[in-house]
Amino acid sequence: MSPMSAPGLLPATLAVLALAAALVFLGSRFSGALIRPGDGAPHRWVVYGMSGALAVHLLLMGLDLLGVPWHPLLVAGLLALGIGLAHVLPPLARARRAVEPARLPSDLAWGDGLALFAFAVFACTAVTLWTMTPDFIYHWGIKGHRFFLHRGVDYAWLARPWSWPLHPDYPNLLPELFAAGALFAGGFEPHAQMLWTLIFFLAMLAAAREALRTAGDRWTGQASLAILGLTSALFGMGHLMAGGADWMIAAAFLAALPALLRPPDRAGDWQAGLAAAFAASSKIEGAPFAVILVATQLARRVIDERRVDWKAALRLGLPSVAVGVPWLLQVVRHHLFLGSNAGPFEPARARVIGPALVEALADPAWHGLSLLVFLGPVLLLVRRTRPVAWLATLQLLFYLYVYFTAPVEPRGYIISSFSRLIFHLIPALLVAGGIAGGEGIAGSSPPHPVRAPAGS
Amino acid sequence: MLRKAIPALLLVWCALSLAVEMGTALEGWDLQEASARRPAAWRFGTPQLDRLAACLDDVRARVPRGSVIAFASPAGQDVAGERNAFFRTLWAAYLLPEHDVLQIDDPSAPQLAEYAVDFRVGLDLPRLELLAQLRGCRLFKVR
Repeated sequence: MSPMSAPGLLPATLAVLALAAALVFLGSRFSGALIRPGDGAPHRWVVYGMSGALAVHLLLMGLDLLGVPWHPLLVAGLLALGIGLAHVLPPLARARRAVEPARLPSDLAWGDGLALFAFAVFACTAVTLWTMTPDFIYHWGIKGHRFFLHRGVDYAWLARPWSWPLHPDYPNLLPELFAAGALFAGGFEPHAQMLWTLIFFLAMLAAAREALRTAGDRWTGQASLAILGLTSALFGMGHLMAGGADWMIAAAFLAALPALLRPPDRAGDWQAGLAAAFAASSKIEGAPFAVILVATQLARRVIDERRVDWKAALRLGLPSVAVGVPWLLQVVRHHLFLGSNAGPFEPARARVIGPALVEALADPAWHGLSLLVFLGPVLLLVRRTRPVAWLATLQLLFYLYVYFTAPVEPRGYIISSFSRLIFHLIPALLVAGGIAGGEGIAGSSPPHPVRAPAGS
Repeated sequence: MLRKAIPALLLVWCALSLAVEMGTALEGWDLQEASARRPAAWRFGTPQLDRLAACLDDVRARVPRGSVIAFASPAGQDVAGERNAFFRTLWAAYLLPEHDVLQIDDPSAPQLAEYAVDFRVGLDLPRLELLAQLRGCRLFKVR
């Protein structure tokens, strides 16, 4: 049952997979800057995919700003041009050749198997649309379909007074990916669009695996990966999460973990900066996440080096600024910002907010695992995981701040959102917890031994 | 020892929880055609949604692309009924992405709506001209 003429499942599936592969390939043209020697192949693909997605996001926003419709041939041609240019530009080509080739993981073990089993179970329920989020209907999916039909972001439609349930002020990366897949398939097919969720889930596992490679104890690393896969799958099924953008922020946080868990370096700056921009392009909650992530990594640099490294600040902040400024321009230009986003701080709401948070944490879809969000403050005690814990805790405090300020009835707001929002944080906290557990408690472990190569 | 016991217990708990979710998903899948759900909880395959989709397929064939359509469905007298009508409209908007769909009681509807769909309400308004009796609904032109 899909409206309009659906293109058929096979072409739509192939279009999404081909587009995802093209994003990874496009991102891989910048490997010289983005990748550090020793980064594993799956993690490289995550970084490449995020940078490719951001490049397409910028391209489509640029076409919108110029008023040029998204014709599939034009988009494909510009993508090919971007790949070609990045391939032949001497500095990029030289830097790419300097990066050692990636090796596929040869150490797959029981934790990988369990995580992939959980992924497969979730995948079955997602592609059948059984665990599709209702927000795919009210928000993400309808936007993607509409943008596909409109051949661009339909700002006039978003600005309609009755379009407020669409969250018109949200960044549009996910609907753009939906629309781009539909452009290449020749129609919008919801089953195939669920593949994006599966891609983000796989990206979460790949990034987590990279971070857990550095866990002191292999058994704990494998257990953490399995717990991450199982937790994400069971919450994705219980809370109906397929087709939404929450996976993207969770994946962005995990993709930034390797950089946050080792001493700052050049590639780590790019990886954290791209993860921040990816989160900021996914949901409005990703914007504060991006600011906190960039500030955290920059603060680590300043603490380490006792000076502000402006080049590092650029590497960290430029991707978020590049995607954030055009988004804000369009929001302001079309008056899309919803009044329900901001209001005065009302401490008296604490009486309602406290019990509502307890109720939200008891969401049966989490099976009690929502309490893992409190790992954030606990992991502040462990030196190596402190940046991750800091980021998660500040983002959590931001969500609480919104509940104290948004001019809407707080209880319903919290019940309908909090258990989903902590999905952004719990996967990264699980991984950081696994690393802390594997290395010892209370900062007794030495700093991570894998230092950046000279010159970074 | 404790450092391994905690992840091991967590792992077992997660595995059991995933099994519970798998069971719930399979049970729901088996019962999808028999279950009566609120519009907010509709999923593809829900019979009520199939009826709405059939109506809107007919609407699509008769209304020019890009039209503004006011959608009316039973709202009842209470908040729950109003919520149901609201979510039916959101589903209608999803199923008609080539049109602008708004609830019939939206303040903008009298000025902007070009067509109205009556999904089991029994609309009788002077500005509405009946265009067609469709599968499970009626289509009006707004004068």
